[in-house]
Amino acid sequence: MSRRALDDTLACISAVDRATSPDAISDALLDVVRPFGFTRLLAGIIPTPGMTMQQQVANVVLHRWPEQWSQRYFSQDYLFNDPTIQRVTSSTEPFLWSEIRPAYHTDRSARRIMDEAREFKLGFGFTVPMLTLDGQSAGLSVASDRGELPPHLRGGLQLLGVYSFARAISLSQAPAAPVKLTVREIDVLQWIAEGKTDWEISKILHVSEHLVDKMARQIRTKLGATNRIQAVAQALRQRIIQ
Amino acid sequence: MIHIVTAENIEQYRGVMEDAYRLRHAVFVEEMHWEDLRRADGREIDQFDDGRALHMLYIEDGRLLGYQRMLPSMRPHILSEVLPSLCEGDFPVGPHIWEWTRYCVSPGHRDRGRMLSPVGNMLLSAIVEWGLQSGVSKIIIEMNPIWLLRLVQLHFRVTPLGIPQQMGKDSIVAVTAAFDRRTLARLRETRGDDREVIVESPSLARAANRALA
Repeated sequence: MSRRALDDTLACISAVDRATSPDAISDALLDVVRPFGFTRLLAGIIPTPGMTMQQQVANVVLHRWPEQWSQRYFSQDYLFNDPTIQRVTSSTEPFLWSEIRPAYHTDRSARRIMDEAREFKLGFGFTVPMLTLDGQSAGLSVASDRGELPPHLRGGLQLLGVYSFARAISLSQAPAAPVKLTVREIDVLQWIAEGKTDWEISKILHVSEHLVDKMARQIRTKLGATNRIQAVAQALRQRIIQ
Repeated sequence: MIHIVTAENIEQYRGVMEDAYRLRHAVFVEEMHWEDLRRADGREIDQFDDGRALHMLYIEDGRLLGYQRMLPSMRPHILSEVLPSLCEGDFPVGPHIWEWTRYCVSPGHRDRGRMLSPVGNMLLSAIVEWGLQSGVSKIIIEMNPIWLLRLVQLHFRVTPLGIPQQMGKDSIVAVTAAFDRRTLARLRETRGDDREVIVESPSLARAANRALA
């Protein structure tokens, strides 16, 4: 049983180490946790208080959260009241979100964040806290609307979390091939980073909403990102937008 | 700076080795509550502190500020004798593999703001310097999984030997960590200092060979 768990873990670690993009890392990890119901993934360095929304987003290294939830989460500045974030910065042990409920059930804003996450089908989650070489807290979470995590998998998932995160930051720090975006695309991406919807951007730039959507897709392709949050994080790190 | 102490030169280090056993007791027994190691005389010494152990001492202005011990994998060591359940396959064994144990830094010289402290960096650098000079390229570590990321970021190639387990209130995992020149370069870059950290050692190759004899 245990030996099998180790072999599965080692196989996934080597897949993660071969991955050359954040998406490939996410796929390798999600393949392992999907049988237990987990379909969503987020990893990043924990922002420090006072960071702007853009800086918070730039700290994300793996993003497979529902996009609408991320947009809401970052634009509403939920991060600093998020009880999972608070736990990551204060403890080194991985945890199921259900296990920290007693710690936040009297905190109304924390409860609201967890309740809203549930509405985006992120009701059941498992988070691995980490510590980077620079002394920053970091975390990797997998989640779904419901699920279970057999106790013997916790340790394996902790290892996978660390290797996935390590690979993701080493990719994000490697000098990426410079990406050329048009002035218009940079405009659109900048507004996306500000949390504007396609409709709002179409009004600001006097173009159709359809065109904004099309450009957002092009931007994602150019940046090699599967979703907008990842595209914004990538562009911020490469200083394409501010 | 780092002094390497083996059976060959331990006589010259009699006083500071006493400090080392006391630092070990202060850190592992008083602070971390590894009660099995408690001793009435306040010196933490175990069955592995024999003629084959290799001690690395960080000494500054005559004071011992950091310590760690290396044990050859070809002889009984902690993973094989004390914590075998952490290793799910065969024990990693070979002249190029040593076990890293009893890493400790004196209070006041530890990680500040949770960054790796200069003393911690130099102790790690000492392992890599010593390893590159004496044909050792891999270490066995039993540790809290929280340190895994740092080792990977320092360009150690870390391979788990088992799944993390809960022991008391601590989580612990056994790994091997392989290193090469890149690891040393990375450690030096992180420390911002290119100098060698080992200032005193018995002939390195001889020390390694002796330990294995």
